[in-house]
Amino acid sequence: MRLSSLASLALAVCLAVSPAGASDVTDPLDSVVWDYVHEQLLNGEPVVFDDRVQVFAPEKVEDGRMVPVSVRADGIPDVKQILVLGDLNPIPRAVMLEPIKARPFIALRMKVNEGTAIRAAVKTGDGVWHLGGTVVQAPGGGCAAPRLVADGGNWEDHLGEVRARAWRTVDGADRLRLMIHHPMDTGLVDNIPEFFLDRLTITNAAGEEVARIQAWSAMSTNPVLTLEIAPDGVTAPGTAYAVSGVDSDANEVSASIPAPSQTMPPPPLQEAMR
Amino acid sequence: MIRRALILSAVALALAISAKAADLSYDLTPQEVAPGTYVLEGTREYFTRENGGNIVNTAFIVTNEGVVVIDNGPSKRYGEELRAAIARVTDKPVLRVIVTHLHPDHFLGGQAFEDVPVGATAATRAGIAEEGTMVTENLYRLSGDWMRGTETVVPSETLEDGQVIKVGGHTLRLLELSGHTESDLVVMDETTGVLFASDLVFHDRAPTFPHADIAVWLESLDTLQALDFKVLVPGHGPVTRDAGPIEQTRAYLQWLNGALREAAAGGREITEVIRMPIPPEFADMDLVRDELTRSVLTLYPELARDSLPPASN
Repeated sequence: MRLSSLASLALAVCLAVSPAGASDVTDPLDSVVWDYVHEQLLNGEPVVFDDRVQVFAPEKVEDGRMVPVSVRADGIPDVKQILVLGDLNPIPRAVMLEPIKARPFIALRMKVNEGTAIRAAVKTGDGVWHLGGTVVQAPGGGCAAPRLVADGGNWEDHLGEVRARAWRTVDGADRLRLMIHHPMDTGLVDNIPEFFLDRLTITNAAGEEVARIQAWSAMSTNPVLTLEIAPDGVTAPGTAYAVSGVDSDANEVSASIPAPSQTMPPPPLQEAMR
Repeated sequence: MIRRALILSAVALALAISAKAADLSYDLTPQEVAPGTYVLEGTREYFTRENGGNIVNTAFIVTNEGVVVIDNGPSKRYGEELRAAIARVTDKPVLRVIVTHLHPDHFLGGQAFEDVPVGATAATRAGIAEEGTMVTENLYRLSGDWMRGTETVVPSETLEDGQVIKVGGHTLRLLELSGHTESDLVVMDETTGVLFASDLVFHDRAPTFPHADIAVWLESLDTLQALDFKVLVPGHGPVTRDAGPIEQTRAYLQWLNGALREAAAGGREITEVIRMPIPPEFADMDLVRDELTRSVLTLYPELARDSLPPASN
């Protein structure tokens, strides 16, 4: 009896705050802010929950400042954008990839401010967002805690430095892994203003832009990104990819990644795991 | 109307919770593993609201003069129940406590032993002073009401590597090793041949790595295996009379170390590494997938960074 009174009260509160014009689509992750995510982050555009959008992250983390997330959307044609976001984050967006000549794949490490749904929204040429996601449990404060690492306090000495390498996959793509030295301050800690890597572009030796990335401060300090350039976009043997970028204070990033000399074996994954 | 229902619900909930709190008990059962030497073996689990953090082995030695306690558990409640369990075995007084390292399941029972000297190495004392509050808060989150009233007690005296404690007919030799943490204190009871190996040794329960250095840890395992012991008390998992748990821990560390380096050299990201297959010989260790995930999150970022050469123009 008491419990049911509580439940009806809770229901009444939920109904009261539910915005008008909310999506009719039921969120499989059952996130309390799905309507907000749809209206504000996906512009209320058409969405479909699509099992081909595979998002992997650990079920739980002990430190919300570094949550590894990977997204694969193989089998979805004409992918224009892949947006990775955390529903309950104060800065929900972490990264957006335009995979011009890249595979619909990205791996990153991001902050979460509390346990949250992590989603990938994959936009196709017809304007539809294909959504996949998972839920990560985390203690509070990943966006509002001091940086996880800050190069021994000397991040200014290394700001914008890139470490990177390419591997050839067994099916002819180039996997690029990049780490960019950057504090990625969220603006939510100790009066330190928001300061983050903003954009990166990767170009092959033929001068073709093969991938563009937009980043937000919800990416972990010293962001690590993993991409795969499709076989028709790989840089020629003996050449290098050019990486250029800029942060939110207009500091420039410039690097080159030599074409791979080594083929990586297929990933030895435990297939039973989500 | 609704407000009254809410208040009643809150009262009912509070009553239910306090009733539950009164029922909480670790049911600690000392097992005699050598003459006068008792181990309280914890479950091979992670901290939960069901086990209240009783996932750790603690021990005590009843000497002619009194009792030496090795590690005091994950909460004030555990410390109090440990003290009561000791009193059921002997009416001799507790003389001292030895805390092996700075992980909270080993020292958070400290409030029950504030009337006796509690010893730890200088590094462990400093580590508890620095991180104790943070780890205590974390355990409140994980273990819930079992933690009620628990506060960090920094060990009161410093123990040294090589120190020999002669007490009530026992000779206890202390070795400060490292690898699981920066300072892992091992107690060798030369009188009974019992080796209290701290968390340098896990048995049938996957090792943990939040402060670990695998290369150093492997050296420490060699040191342990060279000791002349009859009974081995691991930090987690069952007691044995052979070196099996040392060998199991070593084999797991060697596999993990090699697998992580291979993954980094092969361009893998964390999300792939935490899904890698676990060799059959470790598949039955409790928590092996969970701990693999935790250890990858801790150990892999540096290996991954080192696998990427400088690329700036």
